[in-house]
Amino acid sequence: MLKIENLTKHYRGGNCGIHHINLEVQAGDIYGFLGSNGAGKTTTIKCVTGIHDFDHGEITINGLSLKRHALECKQVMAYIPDNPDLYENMSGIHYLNFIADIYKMNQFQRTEEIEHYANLFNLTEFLGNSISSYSHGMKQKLAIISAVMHHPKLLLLDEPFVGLDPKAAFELKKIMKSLVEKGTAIFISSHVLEVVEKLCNKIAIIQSGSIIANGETELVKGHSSLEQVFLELTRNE
Amino acid sequence: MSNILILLKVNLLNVCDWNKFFKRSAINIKMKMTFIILIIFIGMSLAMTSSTMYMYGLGIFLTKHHLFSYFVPVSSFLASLVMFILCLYWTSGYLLGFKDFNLLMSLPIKAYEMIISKLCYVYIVCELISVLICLPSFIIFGLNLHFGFIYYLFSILVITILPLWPMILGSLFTMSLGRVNIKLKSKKMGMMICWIIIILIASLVGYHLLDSISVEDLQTAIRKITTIIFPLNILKIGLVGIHIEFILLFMFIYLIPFNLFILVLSKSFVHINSIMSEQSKIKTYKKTHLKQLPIFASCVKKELTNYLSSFTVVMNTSFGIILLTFLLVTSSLLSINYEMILHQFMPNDQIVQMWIGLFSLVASLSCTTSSSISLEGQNLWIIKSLPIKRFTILKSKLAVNLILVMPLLGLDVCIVALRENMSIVEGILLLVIPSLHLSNVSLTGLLVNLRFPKLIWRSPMVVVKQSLSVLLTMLIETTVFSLSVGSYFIFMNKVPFLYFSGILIILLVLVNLLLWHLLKTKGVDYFNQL
Repeated sequence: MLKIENLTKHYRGGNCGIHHINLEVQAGDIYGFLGSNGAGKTTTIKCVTGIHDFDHGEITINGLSLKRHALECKQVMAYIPDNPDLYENMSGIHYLNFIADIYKMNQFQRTEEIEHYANLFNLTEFLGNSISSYSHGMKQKLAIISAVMHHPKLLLLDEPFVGLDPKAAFELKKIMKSLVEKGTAIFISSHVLEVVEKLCNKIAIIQSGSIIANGETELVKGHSSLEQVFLELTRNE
Repeated sequence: MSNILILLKVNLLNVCDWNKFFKRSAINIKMKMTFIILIIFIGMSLAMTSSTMYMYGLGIFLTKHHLFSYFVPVSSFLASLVMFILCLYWTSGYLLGFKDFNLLMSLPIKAYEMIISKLCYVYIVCELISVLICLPSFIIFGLNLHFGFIYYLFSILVITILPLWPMILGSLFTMSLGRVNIKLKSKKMGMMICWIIIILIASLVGYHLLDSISVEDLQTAIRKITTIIFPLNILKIGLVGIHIEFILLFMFIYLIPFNLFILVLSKSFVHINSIMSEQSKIKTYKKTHLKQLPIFASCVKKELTNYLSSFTVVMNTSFGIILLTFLLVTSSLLSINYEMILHQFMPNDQIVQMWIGLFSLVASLSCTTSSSISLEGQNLWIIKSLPIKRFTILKSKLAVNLILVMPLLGLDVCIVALRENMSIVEGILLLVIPSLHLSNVSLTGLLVNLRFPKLIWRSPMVVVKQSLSVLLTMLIETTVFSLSVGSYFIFMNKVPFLYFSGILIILLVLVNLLLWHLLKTKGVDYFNQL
């Protein structure tokens, strides 16, 4: 579903963002992406979503090159950012309706999906309010609903659990499992190692812009805990 | 260092971004900053030159009417009037609902220190206006009467404190607005209503004044104004006769009320802002029918929602066209005969040209696109990660400008064409030329904003008032407008107006087509690089 080959990006001013990243996320995978702050996780995810341009390499989504078929690639994916900066002056429902328009969801489908997920996250009664009145967690819930309501084939999540209450975090994990069962590929970056260890079947660890470990979760961590492996691998940073 | 100085320093560092200039080594950042400083310097020099010319003209005019001794009070009055109008809509952005209110309230800072630090921006801009209008006139006056050093020293003091009263009045209006707002359910609606009332009063007073004052009784009018606004009279006596006691009295009249005002204001300032910063009352959402729209329409709807929800953005980008429409509609409804006043100053065969020029100027200054990319700010990830064609996003931003201005422009054209009994051809020209200027400014603004975006900001006001793209667009459009007007004056006796208009329309269409092509190619590239 998602293939990253030799991905390299330099920031303006010469700072090296990421270099020679190689990854493959298949349908049904929950792929954990770990790394310290500033290691290059968000940069990688933003390159995949088309927010950042990249210098070298190739990103393929659902068999199509992101550079050449950006629209088709974006049509099948969704992204939840680490900081949910949404349109503050729109109401929650208007924002979701806008996203539904872009993904060409029909009236019946959008009504059903919004109702379902908003109930799940206890957000229904707040949907008529302006997003500026939402707490961080509520904005995160809204970003999650907007990402999952159109059933993407590839879901990219950057620190999705930050700001979520325990019930919402539980529901998100349930949604992820349910999407994966239907064939969605999930690529998730998180600092909550316990969750990643339990949730992800594959893991990649990034340090200073390069992948230092990659593969099946059980193989990467061996007999140790993921926390021990992560600290061991990144201790030189 | 006192809290006020610390706050001022932080504010200035934030606004000017000096850290980037001095501490970062990247040459392109330094180049960009140098370019901005150069643009500001050129703009200020041009403004200063124009102001000196106008003030020189005013001096000659007053001399003709034996009113030269009123030169200083008249220019001070003009500067105060401009500063007052500016303060009316500027202070609200600085004193109400500012972004760092929660942060500042959590720090051990007194309310009056906060107010002074916030009003500092307003003071800087007012001071610039004060210098622009008063300095040339004070110098012309001083040179003519061969005054010495003391006169110029007093002049500097007067120019420095002149913004204080307009700031007091602007802040009073703002805080009254705040008081109305916290009582109303919809804060934006409160703002709008207050503004409509203010414009209505101002337009009625303006019409009344214009109607009553004629050149013949100018002496009486100026004497009346200086008597009513008595500090102007004190200023006249103090500066013309170099009376220190009058200058000190003038300073007393400005400085003491300002300090008292700040102390009084500090009480309501915290109260109003804390209520405004409270989250809006939660209303339970009821399931509604969700209408499906095509992508372009949905993007336009999103743009319009975001644009109209910010009072600051609306007032700063469409103020001219809103004001013009309001004045034309009210003058029609109240049967105010502005034609009589206009025809006193303009020859009859120039009326159509004057209206075309005025509408074109207003259209050229009604630009929402020059800040539309910057206003995406931290939300840019949304449109960049969604499956929307880049050009569709840009087209939706253009459409917003046209949707907002075109209906008002059309209404204005209808009113003026009917009242001035224009022919169909004149009516069409009145609509087409300003519309072309409007599409020109929309395209230019968007291209400039794509090239010079300001995506990190704390308040939309910074983007719509202080960003480079807005200033550059205004500069470019003023140049285009001046070229159109200048070429008209050059060719007015050689080429019939109809032919001139035809050539101007063709040229503007060509410029628009070129800009459209640039937006489609370069504009999309710039967007991808954001």
